[in-house]
Amino acid sequence: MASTLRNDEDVFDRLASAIDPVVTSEREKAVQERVRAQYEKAQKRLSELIDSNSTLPVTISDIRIHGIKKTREGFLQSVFKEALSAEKQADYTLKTALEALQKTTDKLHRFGIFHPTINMYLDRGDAPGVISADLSVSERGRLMLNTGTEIGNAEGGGYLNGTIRNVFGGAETLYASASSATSTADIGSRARSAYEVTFATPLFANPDTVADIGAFSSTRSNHHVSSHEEASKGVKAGLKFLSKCGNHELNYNGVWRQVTNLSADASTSVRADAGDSVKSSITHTFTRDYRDSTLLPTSGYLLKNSTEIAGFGPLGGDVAFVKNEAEVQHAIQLNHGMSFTAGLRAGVMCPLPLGFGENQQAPKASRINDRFFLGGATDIRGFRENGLGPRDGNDSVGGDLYVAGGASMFIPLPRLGAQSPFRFQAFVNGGRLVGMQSTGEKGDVKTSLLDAVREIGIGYPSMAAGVGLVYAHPVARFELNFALPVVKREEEKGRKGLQFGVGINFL
Amino acid sequence: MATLEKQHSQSGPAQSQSKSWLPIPEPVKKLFDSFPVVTYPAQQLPAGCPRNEKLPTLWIFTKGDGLDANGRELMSFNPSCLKWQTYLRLSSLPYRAVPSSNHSSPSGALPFLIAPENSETIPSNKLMQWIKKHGNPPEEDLEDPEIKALLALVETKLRDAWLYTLYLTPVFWSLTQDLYTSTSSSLARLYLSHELQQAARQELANTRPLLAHSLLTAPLSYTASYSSSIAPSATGATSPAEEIYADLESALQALETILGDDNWFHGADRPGYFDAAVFGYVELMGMEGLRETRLGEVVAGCRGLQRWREGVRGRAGW
Repeated sequence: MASTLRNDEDVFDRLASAIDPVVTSEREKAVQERVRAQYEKAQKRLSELIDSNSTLPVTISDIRIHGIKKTREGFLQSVFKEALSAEKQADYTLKTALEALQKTTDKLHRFGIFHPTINMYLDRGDAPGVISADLSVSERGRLMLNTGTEIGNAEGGGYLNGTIRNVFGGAETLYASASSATSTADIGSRARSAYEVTFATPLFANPDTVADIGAFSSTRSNHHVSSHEEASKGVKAGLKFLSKCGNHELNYNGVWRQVTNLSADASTSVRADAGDSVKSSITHTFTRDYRDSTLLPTSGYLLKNSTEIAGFGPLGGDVAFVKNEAEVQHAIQLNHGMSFTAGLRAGVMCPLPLGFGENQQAPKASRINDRFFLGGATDIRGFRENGLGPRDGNDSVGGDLYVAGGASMFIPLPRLGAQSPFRFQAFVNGGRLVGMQSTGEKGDVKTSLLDAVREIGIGYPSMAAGVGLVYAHPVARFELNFALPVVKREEEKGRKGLQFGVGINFL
Repeated sequence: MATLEKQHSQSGPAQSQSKSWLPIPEPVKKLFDSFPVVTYPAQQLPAGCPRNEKLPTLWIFTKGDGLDANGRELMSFNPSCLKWQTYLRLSSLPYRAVPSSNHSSPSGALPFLIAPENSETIPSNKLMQWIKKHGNPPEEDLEDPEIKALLALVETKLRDAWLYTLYLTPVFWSLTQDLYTSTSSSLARLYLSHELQQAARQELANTRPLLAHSLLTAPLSYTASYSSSIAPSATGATSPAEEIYADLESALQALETILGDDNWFHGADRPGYFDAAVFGYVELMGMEGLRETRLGEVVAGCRGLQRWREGVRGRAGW
């Protein structure tokens, strides 16, 4: 305070009176200015120091962290262990040591338990060539609740999510959610509800290796496409990890499914598959996503493969099959902000003998809730949802084998340009979905599978072409297309004219 | 939606134009109609889907694929399903039995029938009509008050004893659970078992309001003997089990008396719907796993009914 004090009374008067806002803001400005100048100076000095000493051999004596309330000491030690390991210490230069520290703070970020501003201060140690680091973090709130409404593909509903972060101080997460949706879309009513509880924890203090375990219960109405409702209750356990090639996910699923509540005019095929079945399966998913954006990629590629084995050997349950799905997508940047994307997906499922030993049962034909479905605004435009492949009456029954491909040209809209999330698109897409004709008792699975592969090659695939508008909202991609089916099978359900699509993963 | 679409494409151009909110110019419509350019014939359904069915299919509760080791059709273990199986046979209607569950049925209960010609689904309450139209059922006056009353007796007294024994005594765990839960997962089976037992309890409580309280509040038996598994009700002297089995005995006695020395009920010259309805219970009450129970013992003691049962078996070709 600049002014001198005359007497005690005056002090209280001055405190009681409102502070002149202009003075305050000027004062603040000055302080900020000074801090910034200091910071810039420090930064400059630091970078000069680093530049001139980048090859200087150093060791990191310790990493201290401030602002910890709930996180366990042991957990943090494991996080820092790598940077402090004797092996690494031996080879550190100032530059690599700083890189190692930077990597450590990145790691801390990725656990998702700290606010994004993690500050790092370096200090000189007691001996020459020794540095220590001080990290200052602030932990994010433990409990997060979300409620809201969702509006999806002609359906609306609400959800309630709760997350407890850092449950045991080791970046563990407990997540629970409940959601429901009802609506009357243009093709009958659909409703769904889902409840889920999941506990996830990083392993070896590595944010990229996460194990989770959970339980879920859901009902989903498939009345509009195949005259039934599916209720599932199950447990799951998973492991996510990184390798040099990409992301891996290994999951176990034990699900009790009930195909029930059939429509009055449900087809015989749907009636035959109604009832209870338990699926016990292991799935491995590999993803290598080098696209610049998942919703509207303009360059890069995606490789994805997923393999599921159900009911085989000790897995048990009521269904046994091996299922493989693969996807590739490539995006190429062209002139004038234009881009070209091509994608291909394929899937095959093959029945396996159920169980093992004396109780082993011959392979059984697939069920409606295990088969693949194809068609709709997010995979093959110009066809109705699940509009491709075999049908029994009004019901699409799915298939055991499919191939789907698409190519889109994206052109920026005039005035808005390539930076905007809007594009004009022209596309061609198509595919085939076929069923294996015999399995188990009479037919040999292999012959039947080869026949199905041959069937896919007969004639042109069912195809549609069209043009439309694309809007890549940060959360999902919206498309409004005008499409015409060019090639189709008699029973397949094409959709001529306008089609609206919302989704994350488009062909 | 499919039917809507069909109607739309079948209606003349003038009509479709008036329906449409935006008049489509003729050349555009022509262009639209030329798509799809290529249409291939429909493709085959996957192996799991029933196809090319020549016979009516009767969807019933049955074991495995519904056939024995020699490929002969098995009797359903459900009285109502066995009744219709037998009645179709007595009406000289060839059919094929399909293993199924209540989830498949349009009415929520088995059996039901799917006609081969148009895949029409016929729930059990419309089956009689369908059989009369397509088969050769025996002449019977089911509207006769006496026959109606007797059928009601079968559907209450015999059914109650059947439900009680199968769902609320230890027989449930030794027999019923295996028959009515199709999944191999023990957790799912446990959940389904609970549902089944609760449903049976509710069903019995509805038909016997005086016993409702003791039926609904008693713990479900796991190990207790069948006759004492549900305690006597507070108000009456008899336990639900005693009352239910006493009713069964008197009902079977009444049926024996009505049958007399005749080959078939009501002196008919061939067995009919009434015989099939009684057969559904009497045959199954003597099945493996029930013979040692009170239900099995009571029905085995009815000599006349046993003689008649053999006759129906022969006629129906079981």
